[in-house]
Amino acid sequence: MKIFFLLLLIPCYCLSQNNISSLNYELTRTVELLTFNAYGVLKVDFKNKTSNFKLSQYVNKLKGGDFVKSSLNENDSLEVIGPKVICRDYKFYYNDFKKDSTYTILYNTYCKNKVLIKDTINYPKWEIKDECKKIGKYNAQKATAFINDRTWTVYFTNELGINGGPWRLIGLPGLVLEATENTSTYEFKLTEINKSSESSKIIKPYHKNQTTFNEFVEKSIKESKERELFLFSKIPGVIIGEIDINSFHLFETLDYIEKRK
Amino acid sequence: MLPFFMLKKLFFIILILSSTIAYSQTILGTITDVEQNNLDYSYVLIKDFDSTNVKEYSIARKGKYEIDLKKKYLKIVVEIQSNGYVTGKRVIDNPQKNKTYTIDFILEKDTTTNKLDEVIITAKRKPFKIKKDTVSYNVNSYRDGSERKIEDIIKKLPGIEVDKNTGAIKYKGKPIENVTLDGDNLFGHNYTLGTKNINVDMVEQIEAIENYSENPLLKGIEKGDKVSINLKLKKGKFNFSGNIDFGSGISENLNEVLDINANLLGITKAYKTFATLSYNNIGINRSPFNYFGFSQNREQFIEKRFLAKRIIPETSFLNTLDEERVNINNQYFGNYNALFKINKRLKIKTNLYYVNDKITSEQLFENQFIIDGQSFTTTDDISIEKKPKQYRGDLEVKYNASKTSLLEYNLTIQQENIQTPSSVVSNNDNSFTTLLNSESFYLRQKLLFTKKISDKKAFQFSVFQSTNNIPQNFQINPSIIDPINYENDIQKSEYSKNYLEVQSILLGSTTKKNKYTFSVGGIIDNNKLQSELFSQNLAGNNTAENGINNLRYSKKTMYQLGSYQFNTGKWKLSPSYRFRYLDQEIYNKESNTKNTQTNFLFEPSINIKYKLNEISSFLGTANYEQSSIVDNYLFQNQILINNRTSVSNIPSLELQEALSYGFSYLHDDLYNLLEVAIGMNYQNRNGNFFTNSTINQNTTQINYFFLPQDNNNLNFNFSATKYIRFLESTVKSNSNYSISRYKNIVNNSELRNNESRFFNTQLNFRTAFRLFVNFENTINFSQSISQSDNSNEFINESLNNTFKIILKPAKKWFVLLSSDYFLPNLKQKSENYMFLDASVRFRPKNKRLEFNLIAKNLLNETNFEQIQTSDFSTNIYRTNILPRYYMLNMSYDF
Repeated sequence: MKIFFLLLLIPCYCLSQNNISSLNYELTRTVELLTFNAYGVLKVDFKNKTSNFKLSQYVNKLKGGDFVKSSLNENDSLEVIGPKVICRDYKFYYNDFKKDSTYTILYNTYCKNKVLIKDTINYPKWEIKDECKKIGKYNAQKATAFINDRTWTVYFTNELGINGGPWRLIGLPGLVLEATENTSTYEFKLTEINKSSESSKIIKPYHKNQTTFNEFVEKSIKESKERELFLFSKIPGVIIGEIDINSFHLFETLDYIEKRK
Repeated sequence: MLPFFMLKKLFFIILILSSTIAYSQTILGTITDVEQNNLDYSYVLIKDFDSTNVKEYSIARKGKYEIDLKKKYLKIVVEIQSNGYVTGKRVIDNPQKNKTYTIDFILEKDTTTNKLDEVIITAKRKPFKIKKDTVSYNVNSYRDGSERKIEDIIKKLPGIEVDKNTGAIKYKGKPIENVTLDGDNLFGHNYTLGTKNINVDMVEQIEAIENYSENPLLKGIEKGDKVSINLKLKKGKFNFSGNIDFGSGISENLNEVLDINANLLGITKAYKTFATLSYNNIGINRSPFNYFGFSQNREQFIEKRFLAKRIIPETSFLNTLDEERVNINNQYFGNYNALFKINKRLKIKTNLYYVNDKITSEQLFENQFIIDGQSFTTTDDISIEKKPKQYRGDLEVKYNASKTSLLEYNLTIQQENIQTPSSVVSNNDNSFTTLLNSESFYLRQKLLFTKKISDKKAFQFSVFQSTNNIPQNFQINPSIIDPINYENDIQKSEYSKNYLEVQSILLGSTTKKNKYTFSVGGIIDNNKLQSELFSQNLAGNNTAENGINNLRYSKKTMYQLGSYQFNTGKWKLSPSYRFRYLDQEIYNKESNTKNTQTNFLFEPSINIKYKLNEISSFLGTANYEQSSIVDNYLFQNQILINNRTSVSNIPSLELQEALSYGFSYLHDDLYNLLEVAIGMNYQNRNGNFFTNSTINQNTTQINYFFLPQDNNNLNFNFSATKYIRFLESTVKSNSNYSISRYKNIVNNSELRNNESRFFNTQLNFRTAFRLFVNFENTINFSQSISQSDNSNEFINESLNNTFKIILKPAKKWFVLLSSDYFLPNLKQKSENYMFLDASVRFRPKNKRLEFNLIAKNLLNETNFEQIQTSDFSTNIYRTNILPRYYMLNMSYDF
């Protein structure tokens, strides 16, 4: 009996290898002269063939009242105040490669807007280029694809034995180290690798409000426009009817850019 | 010759071969682990043999893979990668065309302990930039074709309010200090010069900045109260640019109406300049000075305590209508602003102003008095021409003596002359002509030294000096004192003020972000008032009885102020106090009497803010102040201020105690598109100058005297704004109710207690349809009730409704039609006024040119009557209005 248990233990010990790699990314959003930073953690489960990317809210948006450290010229006093209410929750991008399904949790400014979007995995059509560069001690190769209204350029390496990438930058034969896009607004950078950090299962995200991605985008854009109109209407003397909503900036986030007819 | 069956085979072989020629090489196979289990999800990579770059790849599902090579290779490596398994590799030398390679892979588990924790592969995380969300507005996002000057855009920005009459800008409820151009303060407090004149096309971005510090050495140390707006100019416009507007038209009485305006903006690295020249006679005030109404611009409000008093008041043009309808003007305005950056340390700025205007008005004052059961009426039919002229120059020098110290010097010289000739017909039978000549010479200097002691402490020392002389001369023809013997009466008055203040301030902030200030200072305020009322004829002058005033009023103050701002969690407390030693003296040369008083004062105040949650907060304030209010009531002997009124005082150096409390609740829910503000304010002033008026049909004598009695005022206000989704419209409501209690004496009565109540409510509805047409409607109702002890109640109710139709029929066109309906007295529905205006704007493709066709007052309303009630009278004020006019305006940008 004892030998039997021992025999059982040995194979179990061999198998109790940590199956989840944890990778830290930094997302930088640049709008005109300002940058906002958000942090993401990508977890790749090679045993269960799942991955989850957890993205934080832009850290600089959460607190107001500090002064700018680098000003534009000696007279600029760019101390600015953040929006009064902003959701601090994470956004999740979960993929189950075996079942070919994806679960995404997104929201627009307010936590009350949180939704769960279920879909099949939409692999980006990557074009692998010959260009390479060295990032850290790894050789990284260039690839491009058009994903969610933007053309992304990434550098990935297959020297780490991990396949995956932050956000929707999946499906490459390697790990994404750096990513930029054609509007120069967003940039991902890998900052830390924790290979085989845990052995467990990545939990599928859940939220009671379920919708489709297109519905979510439409609703987000409509609500943002209404908020802008509302803010204008508080100003005396403004003729709301004179304002052309369609002359506003195109509303954009990481996940979409507004399309205007 | 081959047999037919072989030909068929050959044909099929050729067919198969040809089909494989069309495709490139195919590589396929299975991927399993050592136990023959299919590996579900793997990557198949194709690499050039002599490179580690991936050339092509595909994803293998359920243990099977197939990849069609798109390019030709000499030697390739086929790699299979599956997380958790050792990568499988196979080399294919000279992969043949039309060949299918079947390669099965069996992968071994990767058992190497990969504990490569904390591998940082990028140099360093970007240093955490503490650049917060800027409230930075991109001008183009807010344009819709209807704006021309940058003020039109600023009005639309969320959080920003612009006062229609003065152009003053408020950001999040706080008045803004400055409007800077690329960080440079060109306009000072008179920022309306920039916002009213700079063309929208010159500006790229508008930044609204809270906790603004004009002095960069005080950033982070100074209490964060100030707010500012920065205009970022378009890059590449580092040259001269500007615009010219030319408008010409015709008015009802066949007079020409003109509106000409030219602006020039020049920017180079060391020199920034902005100049404007304008002329108009359609009621627009392009200058920052308001000679029409009572409204003071921000600078005048701040400077009030340094200015002398205008004893004989200038003509007032009361109005409930938009100033533009009733300001019958003829204004020339010129302004030049320049900023020179001499070197890294030295900056010089200069502002020059010139205003020349002529405001005409036909006014009728009809007053019905009911005093002690007796009633009588007075009427004054006045034809006025107010001609103000102003020359002013400002100079500012800023010198950075070192990285932590700044020296600033400011100089203002202003010369203003206002000539107001008018003719009056009083009570339908007496006619007079009057001429008021007021001059004002103002010189003001300030020297300020700032030293930054550390990141958290700063010290300032300042010296301020000003001189203001206001000589006035009021002449009335024929004499009202003695019309038989004299031709005219002349009232001369001269008030001069000399002010000197020295102050030192210590400012700091603590590690917990609490802020404090302590200051010590002294003020010497010397005033001189001389006046003489005399009647004149060819033979000589005769001074009226009690017609001379000659006095000196001096006020010496030493003070110590302190304030502290605590921030703890949801609370923000700002207590402050002021200790003062006040010494006052009035020396009356005429009677050779001296009146002195010395006081030690302590005046505390506190502001409390409690943040209930992210979207609501409570605010409370309490304030105690003691002030001397005798400046306006210094002269004991009479001064004639218009054809029927003379004023005198019984001065008193007693102080007024003012105690006020305020409380408000703010709810700003951007998610539900709802904003609510409720507030209450109570103010009690103990110690006031009350009026003792003796009124008869021809003259009114007002005497001011001091009583340690109360006047108080209680005010409630409520406002709410909501965007209603299904109506695609915004609804806004504003209500205000106030009760004032005050005392006075009329025609030798006892001290009467009076109460006046005022209620005003406004409802505004604005649509935001995505159609070519939109509407806006505002309805406004006011009620005022005045009452005095044991006497009648005077009630007046008025109504006003404005309706606008906004049309955008095509991209280059914009049409605005508006109607303004007024009913000044609900009891007299037949006395109503309707103003109709229309404007059509066309902007052709080249965008440098714009045309406007404007029609104002289409129904040609010529007079407007306004009614006011007080506790003993009903006053009807009738004024003429700018007649109907049509104008074509062309604007060109360069």
